[in-house]
Amino acid sequence: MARHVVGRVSDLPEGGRLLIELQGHSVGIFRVRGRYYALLNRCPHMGAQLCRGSILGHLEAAGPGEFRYDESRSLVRCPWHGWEYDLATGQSYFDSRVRPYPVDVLHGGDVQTQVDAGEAGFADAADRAEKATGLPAARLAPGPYVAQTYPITVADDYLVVTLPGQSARTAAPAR
Amino acid sequence: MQPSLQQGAVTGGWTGPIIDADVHVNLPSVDVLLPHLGGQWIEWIGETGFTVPGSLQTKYPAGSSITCAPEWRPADGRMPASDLSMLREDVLDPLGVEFAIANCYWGLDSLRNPDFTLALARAINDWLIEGWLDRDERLRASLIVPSHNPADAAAEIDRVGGHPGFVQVFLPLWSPIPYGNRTWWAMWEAIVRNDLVAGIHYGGSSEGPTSTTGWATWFIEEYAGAIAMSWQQLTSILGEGLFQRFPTLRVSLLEGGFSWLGPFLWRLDKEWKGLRREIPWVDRLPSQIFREHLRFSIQPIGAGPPEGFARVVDWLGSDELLMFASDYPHGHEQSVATVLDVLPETARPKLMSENARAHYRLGDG
Repeated sequence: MARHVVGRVSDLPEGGRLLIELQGHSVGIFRVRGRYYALLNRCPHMGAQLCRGSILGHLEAAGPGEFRYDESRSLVRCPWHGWEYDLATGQSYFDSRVRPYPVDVLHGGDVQTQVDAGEAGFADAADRAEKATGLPAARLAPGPYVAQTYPITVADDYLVVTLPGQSARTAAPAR
Repeated sequence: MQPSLQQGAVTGGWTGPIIDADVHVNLPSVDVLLPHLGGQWIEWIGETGFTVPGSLQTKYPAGSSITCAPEWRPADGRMPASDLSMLREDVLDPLGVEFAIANCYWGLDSLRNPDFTLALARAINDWLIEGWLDRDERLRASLIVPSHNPADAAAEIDRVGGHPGFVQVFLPLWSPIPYGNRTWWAMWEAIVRNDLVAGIHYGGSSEGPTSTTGWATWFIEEYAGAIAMSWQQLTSILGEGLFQRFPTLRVSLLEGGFSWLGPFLWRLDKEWKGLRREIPWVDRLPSQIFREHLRFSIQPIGAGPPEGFARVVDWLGSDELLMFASDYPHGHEQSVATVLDVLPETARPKLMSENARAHYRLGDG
């Protein structure tokens, strides 16, 4: 398991998303209705950048016209062929599934403790990242690069994404 | 032709139980309906000189070998398949069928007088009961409904749908509005309420031209091009959510072939994955839904080379979809042997009787 500090909570406003490369994988981090999600940015269907798709509510129906729309469950819709994946579980409406990753919100002090113990690292400046706000995919614009080393302040909260595999590689920055 | 040869040609040499899922009965003329019509309509027929609805000639040209195979065309000039004794001698007895499901297409869809159409539909159903169903216990039949008015269709289904001989409602493949449309719900409710199968069968007419893009010129366009209309109706029924609205609904596609089914289902499954949000009531792969609810009569078989056809049958993804049909008296080039030859042994009884028995809930033996 490797824990990556990807930014301050305040860097990712409501409805925003962050695309960042972690351990060689492009990962999308979302903030939707106060919840945080992370998914591998690769549609299992044909490899499109899934996390550039629209964020939609869960929609099902008991019968024709009997819609049940649940905004509290969010899905990302692949921009290529429209397949929908649950942000929380990575599950589609059928047998396709994309890998979800846990996102934790940690206080600055806890982050510092984990970084000092080598349990978490920073996504460094070489990791390409894009930030966008607003749900519609069309508003996802390249840059600016936001994920880099920065001092941890106890007063802030941080987003920490956990990926399986090697432990974090980036050393803690000087305070 | 020798009866024995004929039997072999129709059944492919199969000697086990047979249920024939599609035989036709034809009205010899409008005269047989007169005893079942009110005086007003008898007068109307006399005054207008009405003989037969126009669709009948368009969909089944009288002289075509598809409309009647040469060996089944009566030498004395009578209308093919227009008498119970013909049906017995040509199909029921030589094939030894356990049950045969009779379909009567007369082209009512091309009439515009709604009251006359309803009166004729009622008369045909009464004629089917009196002249056929009540006279041979091997026979089952589809009841006829006026196809321009869902309320009238529902009323007629409720009127005669309880007769034990009627197991199905005949729905012409072409319709004024696609069958999945909510306009039709009253009719579908009646079909389900009476525990009948909806039999979508070649024939019918739309409110416009034969094809969705204009008039067909030749009979081959009507008959072979009907595949496109099958796809249209099936996607309508699926997309409009009939199988969710009516979970017990059973549908047959009759005289529409089946060799196109595999690729059709692939395409539907593929598109559903990206478009399912339009129709969220369709909560599973369309192929799964169709395999549960839909059955096919085999004629016209439409097989190509045997090795290719074997693959097509495998692509159906189930051995429970096909139902043997002689399609009497319609003429088709390929016998059921074409299908039997590419089926594993365990699937053959299903094709010849078991699938139809389950689908139409016909008694054992």
